[in-house]
Amino acid sequence: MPKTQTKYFGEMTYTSDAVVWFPEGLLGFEDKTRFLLLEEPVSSPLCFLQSIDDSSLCFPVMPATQVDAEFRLGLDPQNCRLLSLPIQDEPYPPGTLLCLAIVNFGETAHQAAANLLGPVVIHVAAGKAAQVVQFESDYQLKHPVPGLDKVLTC
Amino acid sequence: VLITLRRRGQSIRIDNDIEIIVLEIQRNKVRIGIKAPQSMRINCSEIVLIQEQNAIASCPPAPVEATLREHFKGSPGASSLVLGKQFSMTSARSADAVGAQPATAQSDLGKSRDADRIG
Repeated sequence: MPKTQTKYFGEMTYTSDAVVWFPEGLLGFEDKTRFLLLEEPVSSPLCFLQSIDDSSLCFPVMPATQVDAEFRLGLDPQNCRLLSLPIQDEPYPPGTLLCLAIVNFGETAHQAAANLLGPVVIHVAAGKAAQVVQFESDYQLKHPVPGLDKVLTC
Repeated sequence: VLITLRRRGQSIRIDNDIEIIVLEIQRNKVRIGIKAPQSMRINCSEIVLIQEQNAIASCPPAPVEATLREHFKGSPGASSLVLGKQFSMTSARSADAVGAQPATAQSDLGKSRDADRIG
């Protein structure tokens, strides 16, 4: 099984079905296309998107619905093709997509903010993902996430 | 800041090689075309802002990074892959770290974790 060094969790082995493939990378990181999504129960709901290509690259993330319970993802046909999703008007069955907001820490964890303007969307069954800009929304680049400091100080 | 009134089909020139054309006006949207040399990077502001936020998010400040490292150092459960049916941590202390983990759905990864939250 392949192994990778992680930023916070030491060395990990993983199976190929665990790899999340970003065909276009993330914005500003277009050349990093393979990631693992890691969770650690003690830091829940914080998870980590760890690059396989670059062990020092790891994005703290959390489910977009944990940031804003009302969060509604918008996908255009181009996004759907990129994620190998059927283009349809009705919602996808629950569990089809994993929608994560990248968490940005300020100087201390209690200043944490989550990016709902550019969420990471994973098509779980296909293992494909993309950062999908919500152009037609009012979602914030820095949506405050109070309480994350409690997660990290227990 | 230059403020000017333009109608559909009209344009603005910047120097000799850039033209910004108003293609279509809807109720609260405007479709804009930009003619510029290939070498110029043209992006919606949101894209640039998100690029910057991604760069910042990938490098938390030193105190937060130290907290994260410290936080996970002794965690007995070790971390697990959200996707992928099998995982193992070579540096894991506990055998519990090796096992099956079903793919987690969007709704699950939030709700089911609430119970685990400490604090």
